[in-house]
Amino acid sequence: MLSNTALVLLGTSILGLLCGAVGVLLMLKKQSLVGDAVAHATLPGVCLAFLVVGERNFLALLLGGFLFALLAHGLITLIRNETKIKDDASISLVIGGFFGLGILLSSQVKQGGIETFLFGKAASLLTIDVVTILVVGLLTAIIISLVFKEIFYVIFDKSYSRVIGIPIRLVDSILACLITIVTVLALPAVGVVLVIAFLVIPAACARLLTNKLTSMILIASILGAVFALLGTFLSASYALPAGAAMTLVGFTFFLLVSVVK
Amino acid sequence: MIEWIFLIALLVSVTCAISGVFLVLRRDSLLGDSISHSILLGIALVFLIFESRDPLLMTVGGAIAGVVTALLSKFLSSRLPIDTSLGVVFSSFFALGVIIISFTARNVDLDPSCVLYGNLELLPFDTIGEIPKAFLRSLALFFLVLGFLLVFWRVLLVSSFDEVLTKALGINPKVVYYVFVCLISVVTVLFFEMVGSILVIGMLVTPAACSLLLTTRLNTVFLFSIAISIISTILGVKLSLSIDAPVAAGIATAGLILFLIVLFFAPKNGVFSKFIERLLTRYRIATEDLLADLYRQTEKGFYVTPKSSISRFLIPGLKLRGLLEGSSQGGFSLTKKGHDAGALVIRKHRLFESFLEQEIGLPPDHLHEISEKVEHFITEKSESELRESIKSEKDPHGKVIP
Repeated sequence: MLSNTALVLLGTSILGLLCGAVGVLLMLKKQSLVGDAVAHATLPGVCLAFLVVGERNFLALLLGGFLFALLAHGLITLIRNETKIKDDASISLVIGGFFGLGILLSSQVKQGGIETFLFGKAASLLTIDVVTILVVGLLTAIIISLVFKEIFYVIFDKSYSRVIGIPIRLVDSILACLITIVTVLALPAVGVVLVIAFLVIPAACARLLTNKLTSMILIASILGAVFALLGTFLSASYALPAGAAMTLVGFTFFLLVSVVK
Repeated sequence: MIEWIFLIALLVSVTCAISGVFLVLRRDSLLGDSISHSILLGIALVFLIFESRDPLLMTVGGAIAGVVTALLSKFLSSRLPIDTSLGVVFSSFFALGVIIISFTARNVDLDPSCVLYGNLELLPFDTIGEIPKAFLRSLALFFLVLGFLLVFWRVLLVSSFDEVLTKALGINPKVVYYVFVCLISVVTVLFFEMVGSILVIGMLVTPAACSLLLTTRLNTVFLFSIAISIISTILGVKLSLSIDAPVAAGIATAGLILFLIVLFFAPKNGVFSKFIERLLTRYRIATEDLLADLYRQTEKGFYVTPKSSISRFLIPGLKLRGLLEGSSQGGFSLTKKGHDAGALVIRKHRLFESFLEQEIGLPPDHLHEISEKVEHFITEKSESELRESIKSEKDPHGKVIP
């Protein structure tokens, strides 16, 4: 049996790994901040799950968050396809609106536990949470490696992938699901507000370090895991919010890279 | 006390709404989002260094943080996608702000979770004489923003749409950009206590986005944005007070709901209205195609068509409009009115075929498919124009143009 510290470190580093990889895909799709919108949109789902189930049930919370995240992603896509409103406005709108709804619902949750979802509390991860993270993370990794080639083509050249017969909408939907799953998974440890840092900073560092997609994903995953480990460590020893600590570690490294490179 | 909450909330919402219109038009909403996060660092630093919550100092701190965010992400965007660089900068600044606050606030009254949604409902208790300070501050900011927009209206308008023209007029677009960054920073800092760092972006962007679904004229966009922000504030404040939730959260939620209603049910551009319109168009095309087919049958001398060759969805509508008569047993035939309607479709079809042959020079086997589509969208005016340019009585296939 693992000690609690080892458990937490394992959980967060897997999260860092996943977020790093997915963050690269998001960045290359030029949709980094869609991840931010999706993260904020999970809050009402998490609160609803709290209200319905009545306790901190990890799977129920993830499911609630996942549903609302998909809803937000769908809304952004709908606005993109059906109106002249640009992505920047729809993303901002979803962030403000869904987060507002989440805060509204969270004020109705009488039990404690919701606050950890705002800023994250890596130390609050339980064995069952880490197991869930492991299983879902493994599934995500398998899916990415299975459709890696398709994702690659869809991201870089839509018209070419249409010509060679890749089902673009299917690949896009798979990507959307991956993004939402990973975001939701990271919530309890990192918090709604700072998941974006987890998605963006490792990817940005990797982008500065290499031009090759496979090595970019690899570097971003490793950096994500390292930031998570160091951040968790810092947050535990100085009683800081976990998400904020991880972000700062990442930002420091990013500054170093951007000066050197 | 509730009256004050309403008044302050209204001022905050309307000020945000009018500042947000140009944010959306310039496609800089995400910059607004980033600024509203980054100001936390400015506020936290002022708090750390001066140990004061003086609004003026905080405004300066926030404005500096806003400008630095804009500068840094612009600088990084030469090597990274712009939204990635914005994400890196604002999340890091926000995280740094959270850490500073959680350090300093261990013995002071700056609640980290207020960072997220503000506490507008508590502000009316802090008064000068009878009047809450927050009200005076919001009123002042409202007039400041209004004055700014009125004075720089033309500059903002031109620079939002046409960078080249802006330069030609002797205005530096970069200056406009950073002045605008300052404006958004000042608005988000001064409203920070009331609505926090995140909900404010909804209040900035949602009314403008909503109005742009309803109208395209700039003046009307402004008026609609104000109206929408007022409606969402009244609904949101009522909602929040009734369930004892943060007021700002209620306003943001009401804004989202209003937006969704407009998105789906706006008369012209709504998703639902467009869906209905597409459905109606499909119905009209199917009807016209059927009438044209029946007309062709009568040309060949078949006046009665069996039920099996007519889509049963179309029969009731056609009978109701008096275009079709008969019964399922005996078969259907066109009425006089239906015959004329079919003739109209065929006339457009054959006129267009003649047009394609004579004016465009397409070969005869290319004419039918195109005309089959276009026949449904030829207006009365273009029909009579076609009539004038086509001299022949017959179409390229030798059939009479009715």
